[in-house]
Amino acid sequence: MSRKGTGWFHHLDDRFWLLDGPMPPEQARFIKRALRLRTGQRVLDVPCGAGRTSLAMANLGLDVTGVELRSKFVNRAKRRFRRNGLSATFLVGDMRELDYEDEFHAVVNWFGSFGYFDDATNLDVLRRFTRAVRPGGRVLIQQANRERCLRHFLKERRVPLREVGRRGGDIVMIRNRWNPELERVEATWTLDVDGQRDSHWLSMRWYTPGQFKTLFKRAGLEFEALYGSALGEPYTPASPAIVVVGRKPKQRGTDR
Amino acid sequence: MKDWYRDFDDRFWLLDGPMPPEQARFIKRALGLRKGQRVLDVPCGAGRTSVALAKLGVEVTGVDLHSKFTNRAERRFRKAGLSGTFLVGDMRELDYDAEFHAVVNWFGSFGYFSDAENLDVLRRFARAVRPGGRVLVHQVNREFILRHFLKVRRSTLREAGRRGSAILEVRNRWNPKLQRIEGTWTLHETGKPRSHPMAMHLYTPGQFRALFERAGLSIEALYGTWEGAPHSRSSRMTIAVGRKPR
Repeated sequence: MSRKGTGWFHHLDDRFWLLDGPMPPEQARFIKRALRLRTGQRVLDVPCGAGRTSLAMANLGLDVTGVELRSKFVNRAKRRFRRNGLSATFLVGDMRELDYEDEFHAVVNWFGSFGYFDDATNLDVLRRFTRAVRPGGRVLIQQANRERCLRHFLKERRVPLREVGRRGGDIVMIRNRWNPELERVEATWTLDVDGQRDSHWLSMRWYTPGQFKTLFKRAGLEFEALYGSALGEPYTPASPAIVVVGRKPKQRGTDR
Repeated sequence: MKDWYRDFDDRFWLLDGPMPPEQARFIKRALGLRKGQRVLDVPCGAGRTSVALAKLGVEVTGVDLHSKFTNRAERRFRKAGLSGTFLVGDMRELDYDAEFHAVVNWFGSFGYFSDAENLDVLRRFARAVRPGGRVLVHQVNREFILRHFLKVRRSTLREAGRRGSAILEVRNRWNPKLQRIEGTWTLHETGKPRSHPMAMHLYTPGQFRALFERAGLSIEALYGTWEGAPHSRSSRMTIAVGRKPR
């Protein structure tokens, strides 16, 4: 059922959230490197889904805490860790309500999980990420690259779920619309399974590199690096993704 | 009244303070558990029983309906340097098959549903343990409670074993037809008093025996206290331990 509105992420089909297969180790190594993390350091993976990124990071020796809105996914993440003989902390929670202070060496927000809310709330979420890391800690956000997506804007696509990284051969029809006023992509993903149509609406704010820079600054982060792929290649307007890394200043400001 | 356990105040669910180690040792002994063996704690709340069991070297999986509580259990384990697996789930939907050495259902967490569902829950417990594994269920002792039936009880939360100093007023009614205790728990604090209904089927030892049998378990022992004294009519509680045939 298609539900338009601000709470769309509560209704999106499970299959759209989760990428199929494990995270390639070189992606996890890039994340660890970009965040300058050492073995045993603490990272907050939010939202963590079913623990795909968490698992790859834990395999590199990081101490992971994952937070995710859906208890179903949190359960899966825990079972996954258990099966792999790894330990981590997984909590059910909303990223808008994160309440950590100086606890982590880094926060990872991987795979298009930023920009779901209105502009004020998105900024507030980023501020909570900042608050969660220690002075000198880093925050990483990965999103589709707006500049490339808008240049090659695909209004309509019919593909098997597998082709968009998800599990299964069911055909998904993706209809995209760019809302220039809100600078959001608004999409309908329709699953066609045995003639049964199931539509899901979603809406995300996309940021240019410059807008990310401003946003990070407003959230109290120094803009440290920009990458163009999940492997850490340099960013260009033609990059498939945008990965932004910001750093919390070592010294707290004295203006309060 | 249906689904009352969804809206019951958080403070009613959780006992204050850690579980005394002798209680955990009794549970471990009653279930014949050895170090490293797997136990399912359901419903686990914020992990009070789980922590005490994990400290004895038992490997704990906890399941609870409320994600708020599983979150707390996760943090509690993290702080204590222990590892355990906490999942959000409804005990009516447990789907384990011969995975655990034991299931523990501690502190009056049985009998919330219809008779058919209660039996089904116990069957799921039985299914979750391996052949030879054990299932423990704790309830207040029906025979004691009905003999000393208190229709109204007022105390602070703390006096009722919970955290906080708000006044808790419990009004109880025995429903003889359904054999359920039906209560209203009212919290008196600043503002308007808030009432929460609750209802539980209470079983006599004989009914427990029959129920366990129907769930494929044979009753192995009945205890009457937290620390495992033998059961009698004047015991405050009933702890039934059943075993799945080898």
